[in-house]
Amino acid sequence: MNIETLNPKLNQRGRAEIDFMISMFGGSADIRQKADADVNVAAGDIEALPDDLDARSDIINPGLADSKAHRVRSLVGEFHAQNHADVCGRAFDEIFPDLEADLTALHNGPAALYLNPDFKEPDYWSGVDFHRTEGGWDGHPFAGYIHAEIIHRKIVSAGFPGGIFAQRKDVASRAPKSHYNKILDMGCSTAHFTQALQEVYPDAHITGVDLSARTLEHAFRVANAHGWNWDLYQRAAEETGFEDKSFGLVASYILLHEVPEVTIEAIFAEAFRVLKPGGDMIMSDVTRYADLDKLAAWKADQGALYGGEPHWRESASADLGAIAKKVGFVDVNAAGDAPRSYPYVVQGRKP
Amino acid sequence: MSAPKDPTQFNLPDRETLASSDVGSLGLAVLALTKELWVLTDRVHVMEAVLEKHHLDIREEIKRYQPDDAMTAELRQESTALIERVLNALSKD
Repeated sequence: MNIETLNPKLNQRGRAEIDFMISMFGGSADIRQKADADVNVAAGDIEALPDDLDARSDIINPGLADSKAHRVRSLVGEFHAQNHADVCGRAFDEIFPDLEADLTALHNGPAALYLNPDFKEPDYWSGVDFHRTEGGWDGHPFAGYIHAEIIHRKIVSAGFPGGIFAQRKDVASRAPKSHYNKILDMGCSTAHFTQALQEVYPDAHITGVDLSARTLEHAFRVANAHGWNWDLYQRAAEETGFEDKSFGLVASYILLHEVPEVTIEAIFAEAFRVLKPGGDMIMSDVTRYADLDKLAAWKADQGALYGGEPHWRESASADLGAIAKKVGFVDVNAAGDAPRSYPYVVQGRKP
Repeated sequence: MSAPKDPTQFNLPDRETLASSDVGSLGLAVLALTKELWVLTDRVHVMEAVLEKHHLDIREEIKRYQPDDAMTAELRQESTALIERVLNALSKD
């Protein structure tokens, strides 16, 4: 199997477009610094800001009316939001003729993919352009590949010194036992975390579920490229259909902010149901608003508002530890990593 | 059809084009143009590098050229500076 297929060499045009998108971050550093200073002035006394996030906007936004730096920063953000997926899609289309045979070959291997032609999209997911990606996770025939190997591997990774893949492996290694026979990755997407789980627990059999057919197809390629016998299902994490007491570990990484709070509780309850007694849950997601000051939470909320994240506010406001306890988990531990309280990891055990 | 009373009015017609509500779109267009300019600049860099090696038909080689770390850093530095200049112009009071 050709692992290089999963880290593509782009043609000049696509590569340069992507490099430009990455450079926008450095090129806007001064503007962002000035805009932050203006936001700080507009916010005034942080502790005195209203608890309600929209009311906070009503206080801060009028104070930014004369901030050119804020407007230009918004422009840069909007440009990135509108263009990043298209740029990466075009870069993929350029190299697709060279990749096609290898991608087809990756349909063969030890993994199994079960797409559901009758799959009914949940309302919280249907029609949403998550991350401002037109068509959501399934907007391009190879959206999974583009998302995983170009958007994440080329652009997102550039903004996370130390690497998003190391981050996922670090969380995977925090599950309390040194060995698991069967692991369920909820919302496995394109398998960045699934891969981390497999590398940390090389003897485990991994099952993944996700709503998106295109991301599952890419997880399937990843599994086959590495010779891993994953079972991948197009199913909702909150309704997996697996038998009670099936898994030793149920995990997820960066799924929970893509669903409303009621679904988080349903996902935790489903994890509890499919875990064997004594089994572990480890779920990781974005920083809790409760761990941020009122201005930092407002900034994060603005990022969600303009970044195609309709459920972020509700999800980031939820007390994940309390939800885990509510559905029955014990020995619950929920905390964010210093210094930014990211990732926020909640663990629990089924008694 | 009657002739205009003052044909010179046609010299500089008072024609409305962009309105203040178009500023956001204008900004997006400027950035799109900047990106395209950068793609071309990048291409020239690559072309020079390949020409230096071959002095031959290098189109395909340019298309598939993979910059090494040093060149990647140089391109990143230049593209960042270009973006800075454009954003500074946009945000100048």
